[in-house]
Amino acid sequence: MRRLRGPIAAALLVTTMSFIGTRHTTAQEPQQGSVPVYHRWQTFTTADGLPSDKAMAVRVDGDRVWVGTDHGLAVYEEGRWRSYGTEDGLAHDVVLSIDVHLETGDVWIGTLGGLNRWSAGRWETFDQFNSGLANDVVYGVAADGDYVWAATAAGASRLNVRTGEWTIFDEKNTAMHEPWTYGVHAGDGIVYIAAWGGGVLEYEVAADRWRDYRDPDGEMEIDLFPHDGLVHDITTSVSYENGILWAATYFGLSRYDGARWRGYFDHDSPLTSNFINFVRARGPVAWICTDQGLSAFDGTTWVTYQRDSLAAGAVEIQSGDVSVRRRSATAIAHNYVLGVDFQGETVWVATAQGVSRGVAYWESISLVGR
Amino acid sequence: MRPRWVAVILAVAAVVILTPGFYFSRRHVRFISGNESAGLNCMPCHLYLQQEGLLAQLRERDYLSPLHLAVSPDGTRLYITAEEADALLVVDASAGTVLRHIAVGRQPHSVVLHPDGGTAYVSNRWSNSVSVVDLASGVVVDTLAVGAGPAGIAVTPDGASLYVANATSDDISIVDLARGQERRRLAAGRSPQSVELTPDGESAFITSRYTNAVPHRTTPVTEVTVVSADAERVSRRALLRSAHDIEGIDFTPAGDLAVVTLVRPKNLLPATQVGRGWMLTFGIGVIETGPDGRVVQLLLDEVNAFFADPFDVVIGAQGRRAFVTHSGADVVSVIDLDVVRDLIEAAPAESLAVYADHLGLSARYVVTRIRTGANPKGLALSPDGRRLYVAERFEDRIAVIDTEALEVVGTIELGGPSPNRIRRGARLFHRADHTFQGQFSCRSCHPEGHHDALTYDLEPDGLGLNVVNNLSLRGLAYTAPYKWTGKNASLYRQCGFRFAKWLTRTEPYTLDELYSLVAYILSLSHEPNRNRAASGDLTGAQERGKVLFERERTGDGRPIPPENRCITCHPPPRFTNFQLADVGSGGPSDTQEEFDTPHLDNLYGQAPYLHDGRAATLEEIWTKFGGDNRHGVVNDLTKAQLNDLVEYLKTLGGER
Amino acid sequence: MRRRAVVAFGSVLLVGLVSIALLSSESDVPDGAIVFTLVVPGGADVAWTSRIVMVDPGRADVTPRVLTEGFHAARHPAVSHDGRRLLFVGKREPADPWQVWQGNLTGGRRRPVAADVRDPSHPAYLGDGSIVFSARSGGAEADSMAALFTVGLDGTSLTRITYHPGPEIAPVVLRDGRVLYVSRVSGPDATADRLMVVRYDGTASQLFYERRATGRILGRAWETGDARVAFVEAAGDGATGELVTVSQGRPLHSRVVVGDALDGAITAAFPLTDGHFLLAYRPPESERFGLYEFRPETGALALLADGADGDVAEPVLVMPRPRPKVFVSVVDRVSTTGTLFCLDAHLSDGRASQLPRRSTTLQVWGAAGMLGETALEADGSFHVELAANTPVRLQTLDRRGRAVRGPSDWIWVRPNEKRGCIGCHEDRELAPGNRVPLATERPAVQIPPAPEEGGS
Repeated sequence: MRRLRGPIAAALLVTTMSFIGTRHTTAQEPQQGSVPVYHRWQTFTTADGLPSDKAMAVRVDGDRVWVGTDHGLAVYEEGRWRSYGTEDGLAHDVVLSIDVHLETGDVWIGTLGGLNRWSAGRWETFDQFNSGLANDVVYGVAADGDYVWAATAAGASRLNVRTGEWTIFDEKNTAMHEPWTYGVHAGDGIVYIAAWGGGVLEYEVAADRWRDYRDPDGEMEIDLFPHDGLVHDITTSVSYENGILWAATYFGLSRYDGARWRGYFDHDSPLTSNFINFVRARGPVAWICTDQGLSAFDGTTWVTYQRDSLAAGAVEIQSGDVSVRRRSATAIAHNYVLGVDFQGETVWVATAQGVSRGVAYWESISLVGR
Repeated sequence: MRPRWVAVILAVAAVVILTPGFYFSRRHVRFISGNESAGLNCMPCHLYLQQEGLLAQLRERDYLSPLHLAVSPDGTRLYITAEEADALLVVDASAGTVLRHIAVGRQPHSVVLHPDGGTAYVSNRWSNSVSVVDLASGVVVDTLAVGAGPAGIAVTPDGASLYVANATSDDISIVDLARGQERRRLAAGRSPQSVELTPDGESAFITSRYTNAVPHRTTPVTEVTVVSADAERVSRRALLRSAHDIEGIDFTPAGDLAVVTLVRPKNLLPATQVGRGWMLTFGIGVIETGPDGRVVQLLLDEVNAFFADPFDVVIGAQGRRAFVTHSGADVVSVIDLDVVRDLIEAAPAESLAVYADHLGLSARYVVTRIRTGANPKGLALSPDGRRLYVAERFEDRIAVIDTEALEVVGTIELGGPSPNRIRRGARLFHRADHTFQGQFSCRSCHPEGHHDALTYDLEPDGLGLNVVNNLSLRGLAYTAPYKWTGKNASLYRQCGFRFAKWLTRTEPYTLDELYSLVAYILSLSHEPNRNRAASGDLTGAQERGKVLFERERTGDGRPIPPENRCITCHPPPRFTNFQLADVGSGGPSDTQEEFDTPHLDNLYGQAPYLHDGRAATLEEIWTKFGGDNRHGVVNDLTKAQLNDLVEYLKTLGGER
Repeated sequence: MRRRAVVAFGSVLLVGLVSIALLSSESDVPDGAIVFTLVVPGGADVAWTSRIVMVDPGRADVTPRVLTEGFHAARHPAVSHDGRRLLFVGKREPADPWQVWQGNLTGGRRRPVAADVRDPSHPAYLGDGSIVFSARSGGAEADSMAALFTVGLDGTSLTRITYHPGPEIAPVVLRDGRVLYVSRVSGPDATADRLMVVRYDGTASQLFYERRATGRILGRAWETGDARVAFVEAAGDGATGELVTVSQGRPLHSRVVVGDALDGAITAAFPLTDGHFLLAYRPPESERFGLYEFRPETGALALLADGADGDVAEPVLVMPRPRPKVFVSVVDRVSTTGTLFCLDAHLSDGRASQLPRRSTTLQVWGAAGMLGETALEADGSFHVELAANTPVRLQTLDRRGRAVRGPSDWIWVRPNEKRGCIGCHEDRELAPGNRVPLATERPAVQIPPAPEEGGS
């Protein structure tokens, strides 16, 4: 059965479309469980109103798209960009992470100088001086229910927004070996924290229980047994969707379905680089942001995007042993990708030279015959 | 011994004892009152107010203190929250009789009726709950848990949801009434007070009492929070610059304007005079509810007369008149909204900025002022709009105003007892006629005896010097001395002669008034501490914080000198040692280094902190301003330990 | 023995009862009575004279009573807030100087209030039992203009409270405790009166009412029962005028001429509690001023008393009214200076942008010339320390030394007063904005500058 998976998948992916004049779907979202293949990208830079081209994070909130750059925060709404800087209340010019609290719409912004809450135009700053935040460098932020989690350079901080209580989770009260936390995901009663050198920590909110996932090989750069657990202890980002935990490291990608770990590397998968800045899953598909391109992967099918030297897009689609390469007239703004998020059928990508959004995709791609 | 000799000996003994006794008493009274000529006697301190004393029993009387009210759809019933009786009163509006006392939670604030008319919801500030009252049976059928300090409430027109302004937890609860459970919690302004839904039910507007966080010694900015009823998210935060204490709100029938009450404090000016609105002015905010709607502020004061502490506002059915209670001036102002519309319609922003401080404009739109009894608070109109009901809080009475004749046509006595000394003190505290031109009351800066989150530059020590953080008056009993300088040995001194000289700039209180006022202030209590479990058990973080608070050694075992331990200067039960201390908090504008050690009751929500309000949060006391280890040894603490300490501090105090 | 005791006890009781009876009869205040000055014109060789008379319109059988028997002349009556006592200025003999006198309304001894001043006029009771009046200072400043003074009824604590170079006259005490008075500003061609208001320690004097036209305010302005102020305003140097009221809410913008249909002449008015007025009024056909009650709503005039041999002037109703508020003064006896700070000298009529040029410097001028100058702060604020009790004028200049605003009217500070202003010639109905004035973050600039110590 396993041997059949690739060919079956390839057979299912049948298309008669050519690259040019491809049908642009607007009425339906990409099928959950399949990996959409975007071929039309629009890029926004300072010329369009971004405060800086270096986009560090992107987060979608309904019709709004928030982008954190190294020179302020920008929001895209009704076709226009608007910027916010420290003069508006942003804690620091360098924005590292953004999350939107779904219930309230409050936007939580991690910066190099603390954590901001933007709530319907009101700015609040929480930093290590005026609040219980562990450290001003907030690499990751996640808001869920009554809690806001911040992954900082000195441990994870949790704010109870109802009581104002701050709690710090670091090497003293969790299995965290290093308090340098890089990413956090919160939702469905579970919290995952990517700790630099500490693997992934899992926190069950209801049970108030911590456990950690480590690389059984330790911090060895070569993963001797790639599927024996987390690929590396130096984790940069985590995402948890559909019961699948995705962990990004600078040495490859890990996928954990609750029973088995799988590791993915540039040498044995279409992943263009092991240096992964960020991962975010939507349904079964994880979007992986590396220093050499963007990949989407649902556990079976890989779609990888790169910008080539002619500023065109190079797309590689691989399922099992079958792969095709395509070119698209437009491409992501830059191959150094730091963030990704989804707005309906649109995908937003934060790169080192602008923000791109993928607006059109092929519904299906034939991996056989052309 | 012959009787004559006994008498002589007794007389000599009396002279020997009484002369120094009298001398000592005079000195004592002078010290306490700060006034050479004070006629202060022993009674107020040693008999009237002693909490265990016999006469203290007289303090406790069952006053009602009607605060807010609602009228039944057919106009026959009034439903009135009786703040001090923990009850909802049901009144026959035409007969003027009280039909029922329904016990609800503690310190009930607002009452609203379900659109079906059969259910009333009452917010209970001290119980952190909303009572659901079945009006047919007069029984509380459910109690809804909401945030801390629920004040204003509103039911959506479809009857499905209840919006609650949680004044202590600074948020808004949206309660699913079918399930009887809170569905959503949204961040409000600071100390949200009233909730009102737009006539179309699409938005809820929530007023706030305190300024949003602004940098130290900059202009306060207070918000009216707008929640989209559809998304149940905050859609707008309408900012009222240079204003605070936004209490009441109502909409025009068309819903295009919201009118709120407001106060414009002048806390950044040196308090060298009172006249011409130098200390405070009072007015309304007019918020255009449409997209990009403006926020306009207009004063209700006049050049030589001020109308302190506006509290509630209702707009007549035609949308042409607004009625505002001035709880510090005992009047209702009647406002011609047509004039207001004309005035602001075409006014450029530059003119609107001038209007906000203009004392002459009220002559245009204030139709009349209707005198009421003591401390008019909540307002409600009869369904036909012809009767306006005014809760006269310190009269235990409802005034009935004819909205055509614009005069009081009747009153409904609710049946409270006659005023005792504390009650008389409450009236004095809330009435502005003890300040020059009635410009402010004690309450203006101490709403509900609490603080106003502002800092002030008072005159006697010089302009720009010795900025002081205005503190809560709750829980002050047995915490003398007073003032940050610790200069005042008693509240008799604090509120006496110098108070009139430097602050109110009119007549000092008479001695009898002073006794009453002080009796009232000493009776003020904090709400039950929201951070301490009812069982008294501390959470893990609180327990760890307590250990730190009481510790005698640093983390690595070095002894901490007693003067640098938290517990030394802040010992229980009052968490103050009543002494001055130099904890290194003096700033460049301070003329002294030592300040009174404050008690620590219910510190949460009382930001800013330190004597001059420099610390925006409890954490800043140590992270920004306590680096030299003089305000307690803290430099060895980890951030997590400091968090624990803060969590413990937030549990101190509570109802006394 | 016992009988003697009974007699003694009875005597004491009798004396007590009689005393109580006498005292209570003295306190039998004739509420509703009216006190006025009757001016008897002189002739070719007879000097004019005047006396203070009380009538009681409610009791027609009671004949008018002269309250100043034994005085050659008396005028400017004022009644205490309890309606029992009378103040006036008078002289017993033609050659005597004018002096303030006090006594009971019901009669009895009149006692002078000793004060080393000249030509006192218009005494009025303050809430604390002392009095305020207008006079020229005695002694070396004998030729000075009239200013306001306060003094205890026992003649102690004589204090000058106003320092304007022009005459300051006709004070009354408002319910809020302040003193409302007429300040006469003489220009080269004309004289304009305005109403000023000042705390009775002389601090915080400010404009209450002006018409921006030449004219006089005749006698005192009185507070009405409905929060207005009523007075008689004459055009030019006229000796009669029209009855005007202004709202205390916005006195500068609420002038109403009451009873402008009256075709006779008015010299004085006093508001009654029901919205009516007492007038010293002369109908067109008459030669004498009589005492009239005027009802503005109907225009009705009722003669209450005619002057017989003279003209009725200065009517005052005898009626208890709330004691004016008292306050605790910040003025002290040791300070020789006070400070003046202004929030924004650029602010004018509420709109800074209206000024032609931006001022950078403040100059302070005294009677003899410029006293000093200081730079304005960036926010337009300034903070200067001035010699107390000394009138000064202010002027702002731009960076090239051209005048932007001013010179202002004369103002002064009292010892230890810290006087704040919102702007310069700003809209006088504007409350201050709320921000920290930069100038108050520094010590006040001394003007004139303190002499340098140790200089050769």
